[in-house]
Amino acid sequence: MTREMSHDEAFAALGALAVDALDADERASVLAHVSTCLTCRQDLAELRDAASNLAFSASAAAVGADTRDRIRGRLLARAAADGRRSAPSREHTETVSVTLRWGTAGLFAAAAGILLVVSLVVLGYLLRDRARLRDAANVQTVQAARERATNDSLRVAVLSRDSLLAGITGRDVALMTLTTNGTKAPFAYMFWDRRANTWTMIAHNMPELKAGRTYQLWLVTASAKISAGTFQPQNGDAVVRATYALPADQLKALAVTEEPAGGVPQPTGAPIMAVTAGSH
Amino acid sequence: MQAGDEQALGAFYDRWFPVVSGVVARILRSDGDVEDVIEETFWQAWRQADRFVAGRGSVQTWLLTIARSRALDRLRAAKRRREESLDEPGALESASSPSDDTPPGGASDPSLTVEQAERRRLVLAALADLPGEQRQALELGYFGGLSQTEIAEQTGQPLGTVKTRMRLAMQKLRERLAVLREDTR
Repeated sequence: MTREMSHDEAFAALGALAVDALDADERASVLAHVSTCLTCRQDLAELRDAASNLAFSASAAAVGADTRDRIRGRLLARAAADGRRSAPSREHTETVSVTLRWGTAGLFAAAAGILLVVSLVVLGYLLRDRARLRDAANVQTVQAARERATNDSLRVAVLSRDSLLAGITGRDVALMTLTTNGTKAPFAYMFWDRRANTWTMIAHNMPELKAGRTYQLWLVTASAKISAGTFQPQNGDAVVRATYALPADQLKALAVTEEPAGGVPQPTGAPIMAVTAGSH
Repeated sequence: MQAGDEQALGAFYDRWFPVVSGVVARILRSDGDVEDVIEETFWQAWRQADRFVAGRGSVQTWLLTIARSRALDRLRAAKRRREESLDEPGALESASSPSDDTPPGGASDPSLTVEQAERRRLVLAALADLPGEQRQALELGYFGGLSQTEIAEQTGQPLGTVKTRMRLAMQKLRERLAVLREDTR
C-alpha cells in the first residue's frame, strides 16, 4: 500500500521522478499524488522534457557509420516483414461434427442432443453478431482516428498561426530589415520577441536554390555565429521561426548564407543578406 | 510512421539515430549490447507508434524514454549477472559510474542536424553551469539508472543531501532549457 504524500512532498520529488531515480515505494506515492494534481502533472511533464535533453549531452559519435547502416538495414527489413505479416488474413472456421448415438441413455441422450443443437444454433447467431459488431467497431475506430488526426492537424495549424502573429506583433518585438544590393534583391524582416525569445523572419525575393543546397539563418554575437535554422523558400518567399534566448546587447548582426543541405555548424559562404544590430 | 510507412521509419531513424545511439552508448559499454538496444528502441517506436499521442508529450521525450529504459534494463541485467557470478568484484562500480565518461568539450558533432547540435550546445552549457555535485547526482540518476538511495550509497552522502542536489539540478536544468521546450514538440 502506498503512503499518502502531501503536495509539497510530492512536488519536491518530481525532479527525481523525471529521471526515474525514486525508490519503488516513493515512486508509487508520488505518482498517486500526481494523478490527482494538475500542477504536479504539468510540472512533471516539463521536467521530463528537460530530462530528455540530457541525452544530447552524450557524444553522438560513439557509434560508427557501419553500425548505423547495419542497424538501419535490419530495422527496415523487419518492418517490411512485419508489414506483410500484419496484413489482414482470411478467418477460417472449424467445423465440428457431432455424432449422436442412440443407446441405453434413451431420452436423456435425446434431450441432451436437442439442447446441444439448440445451443450450437444460438452460439452461431451470437458469433455472427459478435463478428458484425467487431467489424463495425473497427470501422468506427479507424474513422475516429482519422477525425482525431484531422482535428490535431487543424489545431496545430491554428496554434502555428497564433504563434506567428504573437511573434511579430508582441509588445517586446524588435524589427530589423535584412537587405542586399541589386535589382529584385532578396530582403527580409526579422521580428525578435525579446521577452518570448522567439525569432520570426519573413523573407522575399530569395533566389532559387540548386539541388543539395539550403539557406541558413545566423544570429551573430561578438563570440559566435549561432545557427537559427535552415530554410527552403517557395516561390522566393519563406517564413523562418526559431526560439533562442539572447540578451539584447549581445546581438551584433543577422545574416543569411547559402549552405549544403542540412546546414553546417559554422557559415561557409558569404552572406546573401545581412543586417547589423543597432542599425534600426 | 503511425500509418506503418517504412520510408517514414527510415527518415525517423536517420533523424534520431545520433541522439539515441549517444545516450545508449553512454549508458552501456558493450558494443553488442549498444547495437541491440538501438535496434530494439527503434523497433519498439515503430511497433508502438500508434500509441504516441502528440498532445501528451514530445516525440523526443517519448523516444528517448524508450531508449534510456531499454539501455538501463540491459545494464541492470548485466549487473545482476555479474553479481551472481561474482567474477568481477569491481565491475559493478565501474558500470554505474557514468561520470567518468565525460562528454567531449566541443558541442559540434557532424552527425547531428543543425538543430540537434544547437540543442547539444545548450545542454552542455546548462550542465557545465551546475555545481559538480549536482551534475554528478543528475548523471548517476539519468545515465547510471541509480535511485537516490543508491546514489547516496555510492557517493557516501546522506540521502537528504542527494535529494536536495537532484531537486536543485532538475530545477536549474529546466530553467536553462526552457527555450528548447517549444522546439521539442
